[in-house]
Amino acid sequence: MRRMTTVTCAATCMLGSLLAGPLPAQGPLDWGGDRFLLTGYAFAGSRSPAGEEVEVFGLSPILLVRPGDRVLVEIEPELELAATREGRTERELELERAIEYAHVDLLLHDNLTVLAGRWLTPVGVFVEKLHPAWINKLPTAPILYGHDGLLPVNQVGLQLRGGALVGAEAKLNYAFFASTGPQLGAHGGEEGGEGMEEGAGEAMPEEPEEVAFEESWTDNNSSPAFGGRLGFSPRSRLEVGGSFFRGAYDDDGDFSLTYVGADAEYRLELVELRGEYLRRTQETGAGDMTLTGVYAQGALKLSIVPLMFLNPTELVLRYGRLSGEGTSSQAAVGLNYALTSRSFLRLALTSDDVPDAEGRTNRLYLSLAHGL
Amino acid sequence: MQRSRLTLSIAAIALGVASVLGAAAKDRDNPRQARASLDGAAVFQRYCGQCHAERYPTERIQSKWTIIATHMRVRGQLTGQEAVAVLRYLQDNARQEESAPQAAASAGEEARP
Repeated sequence: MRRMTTVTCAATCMLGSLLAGPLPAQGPLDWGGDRFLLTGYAFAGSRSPAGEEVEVFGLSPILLVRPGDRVLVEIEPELELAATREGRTERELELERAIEYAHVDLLLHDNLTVLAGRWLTPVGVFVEKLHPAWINKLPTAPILYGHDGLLPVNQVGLQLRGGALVGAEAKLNYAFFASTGPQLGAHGGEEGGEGMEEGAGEAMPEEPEEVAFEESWTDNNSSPAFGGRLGFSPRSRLEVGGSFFRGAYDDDGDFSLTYVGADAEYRLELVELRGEYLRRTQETGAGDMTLTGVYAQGALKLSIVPLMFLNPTELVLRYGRLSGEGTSSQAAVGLNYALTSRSFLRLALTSDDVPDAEGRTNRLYLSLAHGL
Repeated sequence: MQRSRLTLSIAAIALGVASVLGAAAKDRDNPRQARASLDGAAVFQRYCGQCHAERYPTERIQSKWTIIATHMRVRGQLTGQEAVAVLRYLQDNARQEESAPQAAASAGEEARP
């Protein structure tokens, strides 16, 4: 009840601020000229039944500093309030902090930018471009992504990225990187903070079920990881891409994780279709272990229905599957209501099927997301 | 083994970047085609709507679009030319920046019933 009250208050405050009136001619975040900007996004939400842990409020301010015409500094800290329930009545609110990214960009050429620091892993599309709550069309991440997914969300290192027009309409885009690479360790949950540091590398490669990626800024071995994504858009509204990522994850640098991925996106006036595939192969002392994830998502703008109140509404369907020794799947259906071009009220129903569970688990989500 | 893997990875990355830069150079050889695709509104519609709902140019003042265009040039992998085109479109349609006395005056206007 207390959690619901917190969420309701947060949601009401956000909604109130949104609907209070027109934007002022010069807002409170407009200082700093073209050299400084504070932007970002926030969300508030709830889930029923709550389960073990649910994020109920999140704030991700993005600080952009442009000290020169060819230099940009980008920092996104992330604050999330997560509600954890232990037993039937005991509840706990926990504040989770992370640095989503912090990097310096050098715009060296019309078609080349160099990033140095900690950045979102450019493998596939979702992690790098679609995960913010105000962009993601559902309150959950696809089953293969997210903070507990197949892929480490961020990497520390150097990245070369950019794009080039090919002919009149086609476009190539690329992001290639060298990074400190993946490493084992617990992340999130109860073993956050310094405990995560201590857990680095302690999990043995012979225990593949322990794989989880640590929120770490330092390398645990001398082997760098390499990877990237190459995308091709033959024309507007259509893009296909392929990704690759390989790096040693254990302390001695003897065992590696290899990712191969593919993605596609096609948009029409009222319909958006996208899908991603990612395969992770983990070398262990007992042989290779492979996990394969895939999701497909479709969104339909309901402005085709001749009812005024449905005009800003979008219907979203997503199906995801994760296959390894067992198979998990998630089906989701959601409705997005656009309050403004950057504020969305989302209602979604998800149905999860995980190994060793009795039947499917259905959850209802309600969230409000706002891009600043 | 590690060294050969490293060399192979660096070579693959270099090849990828070279092929993209090569494609860009070829594009510059045909400036009429390049210019045809650089209508700011079209660039805005093509790339901004690819990931998120399109934002209104009037949401920001001109100077702020400069830094957002740089941010999105990096994130959205726009070319420099595309970023300039979309910035021009956004700034042409942005809210006008006001001096402090103007802002105070307009705030007074809004407060008036």
